[in-house]
Amino acid sequence: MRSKQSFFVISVLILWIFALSAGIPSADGKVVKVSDLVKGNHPRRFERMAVFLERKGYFYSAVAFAKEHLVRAKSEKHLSDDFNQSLERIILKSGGEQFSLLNENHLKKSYAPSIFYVLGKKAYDEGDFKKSLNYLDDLPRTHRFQAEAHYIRASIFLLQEKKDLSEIEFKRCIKSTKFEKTITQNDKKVRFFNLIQEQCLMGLGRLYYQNKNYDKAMKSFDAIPKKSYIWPYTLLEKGWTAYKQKNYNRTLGAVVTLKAPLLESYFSPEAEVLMALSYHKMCLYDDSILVIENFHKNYESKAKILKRYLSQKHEQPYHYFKAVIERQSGGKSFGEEEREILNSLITQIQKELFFNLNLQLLNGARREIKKLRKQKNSFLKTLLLENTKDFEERQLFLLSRFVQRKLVEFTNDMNFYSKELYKIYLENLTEMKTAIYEQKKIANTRGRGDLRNVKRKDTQYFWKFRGGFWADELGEYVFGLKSNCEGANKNALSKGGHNGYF
Amino acid sequence: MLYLKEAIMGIFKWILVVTCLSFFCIRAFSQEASNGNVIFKYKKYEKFNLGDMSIKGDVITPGDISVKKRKFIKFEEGLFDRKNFKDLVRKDIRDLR
Repeated sequence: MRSKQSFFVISVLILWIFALSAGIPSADGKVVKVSDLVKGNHPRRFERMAVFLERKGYFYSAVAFAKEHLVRAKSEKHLSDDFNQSLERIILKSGGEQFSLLNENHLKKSYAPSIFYVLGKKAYDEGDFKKSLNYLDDLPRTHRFQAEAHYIRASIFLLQEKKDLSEIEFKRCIKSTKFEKTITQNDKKVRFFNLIQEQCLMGLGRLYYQNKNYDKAMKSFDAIPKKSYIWPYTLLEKGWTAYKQKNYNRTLGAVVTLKAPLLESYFSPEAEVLMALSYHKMCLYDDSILVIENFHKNYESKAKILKRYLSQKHEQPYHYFKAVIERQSGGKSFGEEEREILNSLITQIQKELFFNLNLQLLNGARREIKKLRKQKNSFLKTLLLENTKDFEERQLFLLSRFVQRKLVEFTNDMNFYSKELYKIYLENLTEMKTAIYEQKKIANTRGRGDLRNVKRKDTQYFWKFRGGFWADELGEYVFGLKSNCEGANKNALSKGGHNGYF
Repeated sequence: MLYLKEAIMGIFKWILVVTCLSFFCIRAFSQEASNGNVIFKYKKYEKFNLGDMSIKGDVITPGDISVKKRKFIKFEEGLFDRKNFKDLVRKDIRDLR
């Protein structure tokens, strides 16, 4: 309905433009006669407008015309070479998200290389992996989206448990990002390709983990630099890998890093589960119970506050995105109760790739709106402003929905892992009870932390904990606890009574 | 008439007593005749090992505190375990541009 209405408005305005011979502002400020651009009621007037605007640097205003032409063109024959080239640049500048809303049949009419990426990603989101792989295969090898295409392909193979193909694609992704970094001078692009490279390294590590190759998995996670935005997330993966290697002291070291003041905002409920599990595996039941009790004491009320905040009706449109921006500018967007938990979560969300890319596009559209507002008043100016504002609104909707989705996911995670922690709690009690029945000794002398209990490889650093977290030490921590399970196997009565907890 | 009735009832009582006595006498004499040849033999020597003897039932001394183990219930769902990171992989790709 909305596209039909906008099409009607665009058509009427263009006719008025022809009648009044209005001018169109160009990027360098010169006014170009619209009558020179489009003559008569030509069936390709939307195509010509899109090409004209793209060439003049009005990428965001051009999006609506390009989409309209893709919908109206009867076949690929109705899309000129000029339009396909312009469409490619429009997608590169304004992102593929706005085009992914179009029907697959409309998008397929174009041979612009970026369209294959848009189609591949769209098919992936719809769960059609086979179609997604086919479209991504059509993307030229040296295309700028190729690294991401390799990443998607590798992830599809990982989900399909095609180990070898997934490994090849992850390695191609890493190679492709390295190549892209060598040919660009733009710092933002270098940072972006670094991020994709690190995500592919993370994916490779996850693939090795899935295939129980834990040494290789750990090496992949270790290869992600500590300065990376995604590095704090690797701590969980590292923790699980060490857990599978039965190196519970290293697991505890990895997840305790998330408690460092620098990483306070990266709170993960799964990390708490992993910590409680590790203590449980080492028969340190009291420590495990303490982790669980602290979790419920600290986060049960916060989860309720978050749930209440999400269930409230917010009258302001794009409330969740606006809350993020207000927080950035120091405004008091949350109540006293909500502030602590929401501030931490928003810090996490702001570092997400999706959020940053779409925020850049939103800012780009706003810059274009400012540029348009400086032009002389005309019908075309009004039309272009409306198009760009539509783009801006769409971005605001995407960002707001993203923030909301992340908050909902976090609330669900809290509930899910809370139940898992209860299970561990019960298991701890069962083990302690069994020890009483069987008259076994659970704890030794409870002497904590000994270097003899630390398993370490040549590539792993070691520092002694001196009461504080240091940035260069983060991620390298390892506990030195002795497992109490060895003590539990000995019959205490045979040694003359209990020396432990009881 | 009354005296006649009492005399008849008295005679019947005596007849009943005599009949019963004679029945028991015959029975006793006939049993004595059949069991007359039974010889009871007992073991001359029997050894009892008191250490081998087991006593059925609970032995509870008054000062004992005992805890009985209940039937062990195994939970259907085990503790949380990560076999893969597929859920996180899905999320990461979904949030790609």
